[in-house]
Amino acid sequence: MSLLEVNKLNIGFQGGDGLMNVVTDLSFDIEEGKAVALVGESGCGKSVTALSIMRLLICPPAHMEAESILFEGKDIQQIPERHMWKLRGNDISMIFQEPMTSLNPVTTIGKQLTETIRQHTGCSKKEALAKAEDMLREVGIPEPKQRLREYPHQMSGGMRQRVMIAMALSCDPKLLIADEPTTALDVTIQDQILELIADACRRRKMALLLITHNMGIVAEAADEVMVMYAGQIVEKASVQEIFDTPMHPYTNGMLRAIPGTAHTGEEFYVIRGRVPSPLFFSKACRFAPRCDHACERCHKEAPQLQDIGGGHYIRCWNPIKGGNANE
Amino acid sequence: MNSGLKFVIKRLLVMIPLLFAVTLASYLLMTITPGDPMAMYVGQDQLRQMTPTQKEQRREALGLNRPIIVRYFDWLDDILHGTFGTSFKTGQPIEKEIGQRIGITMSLNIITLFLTYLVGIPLGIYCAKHKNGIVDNAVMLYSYVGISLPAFWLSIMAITLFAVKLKWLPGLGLSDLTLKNPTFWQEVWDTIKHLIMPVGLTVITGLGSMARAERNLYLDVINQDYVRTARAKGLPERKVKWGHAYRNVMLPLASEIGGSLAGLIGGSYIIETIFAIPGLGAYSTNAILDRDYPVIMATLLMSSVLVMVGYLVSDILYCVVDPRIRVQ
Repeated sequence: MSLLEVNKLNIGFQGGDGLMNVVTDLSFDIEEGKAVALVGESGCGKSVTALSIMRLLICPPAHMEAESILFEGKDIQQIPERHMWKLRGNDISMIFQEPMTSLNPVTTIGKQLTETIRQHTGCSKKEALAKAEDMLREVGIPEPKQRLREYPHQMSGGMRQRVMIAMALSCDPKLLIADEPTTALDVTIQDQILELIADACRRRKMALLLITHNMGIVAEAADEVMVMYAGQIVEKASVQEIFDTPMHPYTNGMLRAIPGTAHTGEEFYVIRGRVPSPLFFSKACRFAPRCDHACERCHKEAPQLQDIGGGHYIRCWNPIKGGNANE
Repeated sequence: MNSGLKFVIKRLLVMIPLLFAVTLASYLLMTITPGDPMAMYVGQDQLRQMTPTQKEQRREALGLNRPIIVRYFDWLDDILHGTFGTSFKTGQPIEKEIGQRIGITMSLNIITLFLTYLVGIPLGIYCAKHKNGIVDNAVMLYSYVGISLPAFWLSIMAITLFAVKLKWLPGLGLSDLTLKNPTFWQEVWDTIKHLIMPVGLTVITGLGSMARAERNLYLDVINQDYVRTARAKGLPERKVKWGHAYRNVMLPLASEIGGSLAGLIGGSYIIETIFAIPGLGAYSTNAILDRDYPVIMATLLMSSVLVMVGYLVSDILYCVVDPRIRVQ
């Protein structure tokens, strides 16, 4: 049994023109202790997917529906809100994109950390403070005792993200969801934070759902990769396979768009066109209008996600053979 | 705390030049307005019968013959010696007259402010939680009406209806003078009855905008990332609201208290005059009508100080509730 099993997740938003579908029939699972990356452009539905697993989507205006979302065999859609409180922060934790705004500005770091710990373990204030101090030390914050008394505005963005990580790890969750944890950070800090997350997961045998649009991060931290486009998974494989033999033209395009040092002087490769608005998702292949590899069938019929062997799945009528990313 | 004390002292020092500027400006403004304060002091008829020499003597006795600037600094000198002088009209020391009235105005304002917050905050939060519901729409519509209706018009309508037509409430003053040997509770009830209209009307006109501000604040805060973080940590909704949302909703309110107090002090000029409440507002309004210069200057100074203290208090409150301000 997988730790997390998402089956046919659909997410929509109530708009002026009715329900706008942003995630369509999304299915995936995460094994215990495995790191899975969910990759895609901005607006493809990554973040709402993460929030819906935590049941943190504000409904309405959002609307979520799934055949099942099983966490340790239990469907989180059926869990009453009261019991979700015990799950959140304890079994499933989340790190957000914006460390600058994700911490309460008027409460000390110590209070925000101990609050989580005491909520889930029911330990004394003193024990919680000691635990909080340990956690800050673990995420590499110097002088943790003093930091506990400080407020978020006294820290840099990288520091705050470390605090967020400490908070997320403080109750030893089984699954950590990191929603673009490094996007808002300085490039020099990004690597450190990512390493911190990947390290913590390995050490604690904690599963990780890493949401990002940065392929470099994927290569470093993930075991398995899911590429998402316009609310659907278009390719799913091990990290090795994705980088060596990307079959879907979109994955291929994304990999080619990474600026490298080998091809100096060449123009940057870009995938032409833009991500379609959920209002205008094609009935056929959603990527076809931007695809250089599209055939006639791609514009007429919607492809299904198919297993092409070895745990490699693609949603494509005309995949790239041999999958040469740097042709 | 040390830095807090420094902050307060600094703010108090800034108030000095500000008060200086306010009083000088109003002193000059007052002296260039048409009309002769002598008429007030000796009476219109008597003034006409006086010979020019008599007038001149009188003017000299009142100190009105000297240049404006000299008079201003004389007045300032008196203030620094702790006296506002005597009223042209009553001949009483002004500090005594103010002493009798300031308590009434302050308690009226504090009661009003307290009630506005007490009703406005929960109402605003209710509206935010039931956004676009019936109550929300009604309150939002009402907030425009409340701002648009002039307090004096509303007061006169209320007096006409409740005091004159229905005779439910007294229309004037703060106590019923015909009450003979009242018991303590009778007196309390009498005061409450007299307060219902002036306080109620001020609360009603301010309530809409208060609820509106609070509603928008709440909607803003509840969508903040840190509220989502609090939920993601697994806190029960009650703790999310009280520990993380409401506290941040209260922040800007602390800074608004000063502004509200200033607005209320301005408003009490109108309300006190209409309801004949013997407070600072009515006192100054009458002084202006009478051209009682020393009283006008004294009450002006008093209200300036009250307004500045109001802002100082809200700044201090802001420092207490928001750590981000504290450090700077």
